[in-house]
Amino acid sequence: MGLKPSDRLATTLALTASLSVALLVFAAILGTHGYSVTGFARVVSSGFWPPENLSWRLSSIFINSLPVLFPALGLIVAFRMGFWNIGAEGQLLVGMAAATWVGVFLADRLPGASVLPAMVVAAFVAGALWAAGPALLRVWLGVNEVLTTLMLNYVAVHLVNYLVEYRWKDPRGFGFIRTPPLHESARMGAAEGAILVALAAGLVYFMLRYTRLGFELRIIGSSPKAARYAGISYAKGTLLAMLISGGLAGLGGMSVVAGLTGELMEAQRMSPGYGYTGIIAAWLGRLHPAAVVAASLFLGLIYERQSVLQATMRLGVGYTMLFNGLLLFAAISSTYLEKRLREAGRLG
Amino acid sequence: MSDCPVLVEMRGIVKRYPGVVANDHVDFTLCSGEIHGLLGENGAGKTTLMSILYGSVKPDAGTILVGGSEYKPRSPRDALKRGIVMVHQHFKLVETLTVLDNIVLAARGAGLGYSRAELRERLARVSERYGLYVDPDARVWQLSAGEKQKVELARALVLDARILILDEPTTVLAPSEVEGLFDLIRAMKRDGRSIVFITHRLGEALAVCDRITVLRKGRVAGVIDLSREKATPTMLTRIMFGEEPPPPPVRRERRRGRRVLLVEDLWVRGNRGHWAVRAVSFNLFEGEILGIAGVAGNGQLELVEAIVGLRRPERGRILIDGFDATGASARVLVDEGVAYIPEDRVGMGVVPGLTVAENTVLRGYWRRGFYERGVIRWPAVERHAERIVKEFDVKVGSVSFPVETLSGGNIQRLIVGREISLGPRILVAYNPTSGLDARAAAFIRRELAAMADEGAAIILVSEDLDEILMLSDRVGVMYKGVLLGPLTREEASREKVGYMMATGTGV
Repeated sequence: MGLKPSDRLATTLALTASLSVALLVFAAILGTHGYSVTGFARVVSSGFWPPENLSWRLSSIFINSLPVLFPALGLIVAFRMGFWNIGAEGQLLVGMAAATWVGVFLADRLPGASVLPAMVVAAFVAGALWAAGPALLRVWLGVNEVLTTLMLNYVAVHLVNYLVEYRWKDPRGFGFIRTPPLHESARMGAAEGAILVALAAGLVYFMLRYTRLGFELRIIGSSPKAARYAGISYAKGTLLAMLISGGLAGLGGMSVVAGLTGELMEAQRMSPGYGYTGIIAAWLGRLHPAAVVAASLFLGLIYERQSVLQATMRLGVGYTMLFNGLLLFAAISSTYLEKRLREAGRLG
Repeated sequence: MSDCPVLVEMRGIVKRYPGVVANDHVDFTLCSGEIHGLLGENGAGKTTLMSILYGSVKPDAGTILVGGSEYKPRSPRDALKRGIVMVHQHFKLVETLTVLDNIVLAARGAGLGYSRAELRERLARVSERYGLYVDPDARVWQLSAGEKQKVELARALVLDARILILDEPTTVLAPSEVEGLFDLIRAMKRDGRSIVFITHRLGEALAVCDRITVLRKGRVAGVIDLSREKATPTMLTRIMFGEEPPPPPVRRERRRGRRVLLVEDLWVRGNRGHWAVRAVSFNLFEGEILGIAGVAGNGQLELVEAIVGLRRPERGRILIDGFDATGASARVLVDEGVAYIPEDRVGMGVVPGLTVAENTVLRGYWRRGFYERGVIRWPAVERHAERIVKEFDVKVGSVSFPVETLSGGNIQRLIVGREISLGPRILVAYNPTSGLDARAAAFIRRELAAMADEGAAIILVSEDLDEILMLSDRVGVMYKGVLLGPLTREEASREKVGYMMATGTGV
């Protein structure tokens, strides 16, 4: 949207450079901890090679990227208006719980084809409502959204754990803390996921580019004073942006239970922090829907390879988180580099 | 010219910024004990040149000699060691500290070994000698702009500055305070200090300077020794602009039409909760320009923001053609035909990160033609933007470039174009030409005059008294939240309005 070609080149160069640095740092850490860097590269690239069963592996990577992808799409909306929603994780968890409720307890009584749509609606609404609280507190009382959204993540963790342990626990589950499995019609494959991603990404793009709301959110995000001058209501913008952001994070939660686990367990076993990783994907993609989808697919690859890395190299989940953290550093610090490159471009 | 004792010699100074050459091989000499005017339009490179001398900007090329020895300042601290101090247009004082604290801070920063008591003593002596009278224990935020300037000057004298650079020092002063500043400058000269007086106002340069260096587009356009040659404003204008100056605005019609705006007993609070506007009432008619003069901070901003829907009045009424607009939002007022050119161009007037096209519909994207059947019609917006860019001569490569790539003058042309394209009945302009070069300023004044000729009602708030007197049909003065006048054009002499600005009386 409105970038000169030279600026786009600056973005690409800056991102490439800082991502390379992040990869080098990660390789150095692996090396000093006694892991084989080439081994790591081999395991990660084995997502694509050899070509036998490739489509199965690709769809597995895709499904694994959804829990990051949906929150990241939602975060584009909040971040574009300058609302620092750190609560995608909590919004994802409550969306997950709502989808589980539909998929386990309601699916019997619904026609098969309507189960997934009903889960989508339930997850979206739950995530949106979870996000509405911080938005209202911000608008009414001026409470900092970083704190409220972040704290509500912990509340959501305990809410999910409470539901699994005391309300929805499978009586035939041999004492394991988990719900009964989702109904057959409540499971989501790559095809359904792809439809949902196309819809969500397309709508986010369209909303930001072509609707009044989208234009208003972009104005608020760039200059709150100019927004006032344009007669834009900050309260309305904040609330709508957070409903969309939280709702999409909720879809991320649905994709965990319907696409990956097939049942609800304790929160810490359901999400290694997908909502936080969504923040990384949103920044890596520079808040542009298509680029965010691409960044999420990459992060999905890492998540999908995680189990293989664990099995073959005994590489713990901590390394995945470290890797993600380095990516976030790279994504954010590259904006500085990008600015310098643009200035240099204008000089030349 | 060369027979005066040269104190500072700058030779071949070059400073480039992205896209502009601020100083292009500039030579400048300052003699000891002279008042040297540095004259030029905004953007001519005056402040850059002096910031280089002051050590806050590094030149790309050139040499400087001070007192005959080479001088390469790495920071203002080095400048201070040579006795060079700059008083900026925007004061460099810590608002929450007292006057004396600010001086102590500066003395420590410069590595001068004075104790607090000694500095208090020196401040008292300097105040006495130059008639500066600043309270050492007053907190800076309590002071007016004129008083802050005195603090800056007193600080420079306490630190024993031999060379004082004053950057546009009269812009913050009421007309009545200017003569006092000139007396002070002359007194400093008598004590053997040298003063560089940066200004874009010819009259002031002629009134107080011994020599004048004129800069034009980053180059020296002329050096005039006023003790030897007689200089006239016309001659200086020609040197400043290199050709004939831009034509002044002309009001063809001065016909007052129906009343379009009635403001009645309006009370508005400022950001600190105080009454910024007290019981203001006035009428505004079609085809007239109502000028509102006043020293900044006397309630002009709050009054204007209440009228354009950016601030809610506590009491009173605002009627636009009978429509009760009291407390209406900015959007409702735009649709009622109220356009606004805000003072804060980059902060409020545009969204710097968005494109030129997007910015041309910042105040109208919801209107039919731009917004139909639930979507914004970007092709229509772009056509609209192309028209504004062309008609208002905005220099930009493409309307899809972000506004942050535009210069200040071009941003203002864009804002003025956008607001005029709204087709307003009432246009409110707040310092519409401040900081613009003469050409852009003249362009905007002509546009305002043309709008009034076509029947729009205009409120022009400006700290530039000349601009007010040039354009207005009636002139009001804001003083401590009260609107004085308005006077008719015939009554509003420069002296009378200036006196009202400074004292709040004299109607």
